[in-house]
Amino acid sequence: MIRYIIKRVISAIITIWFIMTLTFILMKAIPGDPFSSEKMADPVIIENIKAKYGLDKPLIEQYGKYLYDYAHGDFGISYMKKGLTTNDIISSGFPYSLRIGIWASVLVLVLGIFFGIIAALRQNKIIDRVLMILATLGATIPSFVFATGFLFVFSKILGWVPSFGVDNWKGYIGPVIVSALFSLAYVVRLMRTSTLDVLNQDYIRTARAKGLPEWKVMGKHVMRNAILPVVTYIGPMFAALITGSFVVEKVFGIPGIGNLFTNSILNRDYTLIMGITVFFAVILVICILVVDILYVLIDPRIKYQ
Amino acid sequence: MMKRKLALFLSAAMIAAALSGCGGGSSETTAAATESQTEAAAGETTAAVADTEGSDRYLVWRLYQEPKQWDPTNNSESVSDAIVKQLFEGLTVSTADGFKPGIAESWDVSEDGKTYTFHLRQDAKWSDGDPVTAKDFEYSWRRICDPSFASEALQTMTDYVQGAQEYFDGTGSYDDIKATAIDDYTFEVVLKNVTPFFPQLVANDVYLPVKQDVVEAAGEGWEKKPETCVSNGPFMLEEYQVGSHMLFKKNPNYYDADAVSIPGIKAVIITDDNTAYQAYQAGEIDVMDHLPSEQIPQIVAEDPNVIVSADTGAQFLNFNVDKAPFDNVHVRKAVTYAIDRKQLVEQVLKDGSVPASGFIAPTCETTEGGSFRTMEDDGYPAEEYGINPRQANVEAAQQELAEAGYPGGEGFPSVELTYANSDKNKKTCEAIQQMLEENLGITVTLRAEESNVFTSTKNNGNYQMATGGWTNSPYDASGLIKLFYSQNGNNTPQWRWKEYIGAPHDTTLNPGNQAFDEAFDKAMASQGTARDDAWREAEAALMADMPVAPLYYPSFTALVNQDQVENVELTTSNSFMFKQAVIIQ
Repeated sequence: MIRYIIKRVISAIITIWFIMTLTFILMKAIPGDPFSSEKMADPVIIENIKAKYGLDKPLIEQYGKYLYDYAHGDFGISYMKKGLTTNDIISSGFPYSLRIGIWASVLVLVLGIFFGIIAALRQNKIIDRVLMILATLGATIPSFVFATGFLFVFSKILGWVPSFGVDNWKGYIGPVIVSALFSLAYVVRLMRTSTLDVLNQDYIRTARAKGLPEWKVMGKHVMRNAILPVVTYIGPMFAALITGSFVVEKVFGIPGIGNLFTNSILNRDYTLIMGITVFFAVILVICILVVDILYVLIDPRIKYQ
Repeated sequence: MMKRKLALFLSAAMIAAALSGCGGGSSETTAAATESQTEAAAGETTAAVADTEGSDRYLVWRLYQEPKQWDPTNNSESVSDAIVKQLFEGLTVSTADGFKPGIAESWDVSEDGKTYTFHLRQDAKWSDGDPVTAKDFEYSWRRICDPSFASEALQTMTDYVQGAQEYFDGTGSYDDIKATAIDDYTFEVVLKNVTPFFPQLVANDVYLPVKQDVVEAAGEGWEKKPETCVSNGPFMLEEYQVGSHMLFKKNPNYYDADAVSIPGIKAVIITDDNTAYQAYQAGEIDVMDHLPSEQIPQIVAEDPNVIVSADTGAQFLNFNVDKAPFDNVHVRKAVTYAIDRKQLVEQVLKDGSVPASGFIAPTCETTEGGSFRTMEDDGYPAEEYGINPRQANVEAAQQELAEAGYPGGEGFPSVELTYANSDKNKKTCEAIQQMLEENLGITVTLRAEESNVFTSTKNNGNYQMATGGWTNSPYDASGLIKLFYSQNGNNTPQWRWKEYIGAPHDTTLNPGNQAFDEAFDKAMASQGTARDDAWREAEAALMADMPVAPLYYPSFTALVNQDQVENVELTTSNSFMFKQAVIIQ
């Protein structure tokens, strides 16, 4: 187990190095820089500002400095938010996205698994049809439509939730629901399919034939096997949800990390782009690692390799 | 049973993983996260308390983007300009009726118009209680010229103040920057050129003072922490939550604190225009600008709270004068004449913008305070340079095109019009595309670019036609017309008669620009009506060669909820001042 984890950590570090290199190349390849603006300053000023931040150095040297600083835990200072470090900015934005992400994940798992099983057990009945239509809608309608619609109905017409921000718990309702919808739709379908699959297996018939009570058949045999594909999906899903959605955060006016990330790219805020990318990569790698370990715990057929 | 255990275990494991994940970088990260959460919680309480007390609540003001900084000496964006003006006060202040004395009670101008002596009021204090003196201005102005500080606002000093450029270049000394504290309450500035609008100019954000001891002790980012953001204006920083909001509270040490009736301002950062507008409709926001562009026509027509005011500036079409087919002046003129500006403004924009004739905006003032444009009864300028603001001049356009060798548009290559991606720009460009097709029979394709990419496209001259715009806060023609000076990086049409160090790619020279440069230099060296005439001469040189087609003079639209707040001042440079605001409910 320990050897397995060490192996995974080493491969994670290589993955992150690879991501950093790719990000560096891409962000330097797009036109524009953090200091170009609509009202362009004197070239001498621009050169002077670039020199101050070391952006006048050859690219390979800048790249080397990034790697060196990151290895030493220094994520650098934001160009666009003067005087704030990348750490400051991430730690101010991430808690909002994390809170929304956790609640959205809970919503996805609880409702997704529940409705997935219901749909499977009532296959081709009315409730199954309705759930599948809803799932299709959830997966296909873009989130900004849901977000704007939610605000229109619950904020503008009914006045139940604030129209922006997360000053109190009510502000979280919309972002959590809208963030969850896509994954929820996916998990319902996934759970339905895998439950149907398991229900047709011989060992279920055997279990029923043995005279096991239905709840035990469902709980012990069906659930445990049917949930495996969902578990695989949880890792990336959770990572995606807690890293925030640009659309949801922009529409609901939430100072989360998804919004910060998109803006950092629009502003060419190189240090912040790099910092948040690495941060996301670390979260994703950890989530996947945890899922892999969980997998082994749930499915005894899988062994550490 | 199994299911519940499993679910419990799953969620517990995931949350634990995520939490350890966010602390994984370093232990500092976690500590900082907790701290900012506590701060946020404190902010919530303040806001909640303010809400329950009705009229004692903070005024809620929407910011359309997060400011980079609001250190006056390093400023370059409009969103922080507005913040700086709530926190700091300069020698003069911009108000709804033009500029007025601020920290300077009065000033004298030398006979040659180049030396200004400001006499400062003696009761002005910083928010920490120390007096505001001429030394503060001397420090702040000279700080901008420091090469190691690398201020983005450098040009605001080097363009005007003697000795500033020399100090920046390393050829002059710090003490030779001619912005000097003669004594504690006398501040003298010697200018490079005659600058009649100088007292108006120093109301701008970058000329506002900072306090040397706190700035130097705290270093970059000093203005972002309430404990180090010492300011001398009506308000002071109470809280800043990155990406979310700022709280400004009344500054009790402000010399005119009695005039400030609101306890403070809550500036909320909402980047989505539609979300902000909904919040305004729900009564959650008192003051906002940057209205959602597709709703502006309806808001302007229906909402009694709307403010529509002229911006000092122009929107125009850039022609890349170095690239075919726009290297031909007749082609440029043909396109310029073929556009129906009235239709553009009244049918497409519907936001109170004014169709253009020449380049200098009607709000630019001559020395006597008149306008550079002759306005007619309908509020639109008179026809000039062959441009009729009320309709397309189709006949003249077709004639120019024929003269260029493309009669009826025959043989004219398909051209591309590039714009920065936004709803408004898209609609404008589509309208122009259609007008050029109908009136000239030429094919125009459109290309949208992300705004940072678009800026670099324009500055490097990698386009055929591109949208452009410029606004300027003092009401002086120089701020607008300087764009087309050969030695200017914002000369996007690449219209230069001699090479410019900042644009090494522009090697195709355009002799037409020489007359413009000469008129510009003449204006900078003269005073009074001679100066006004030289600006007209410069504009005439510009319009004779037509590197740009003026489209319209833009408007500024904003919403102030009059049912909730009163006396919110909109200055003549279209920024809000909350000093005298009153909350009704």
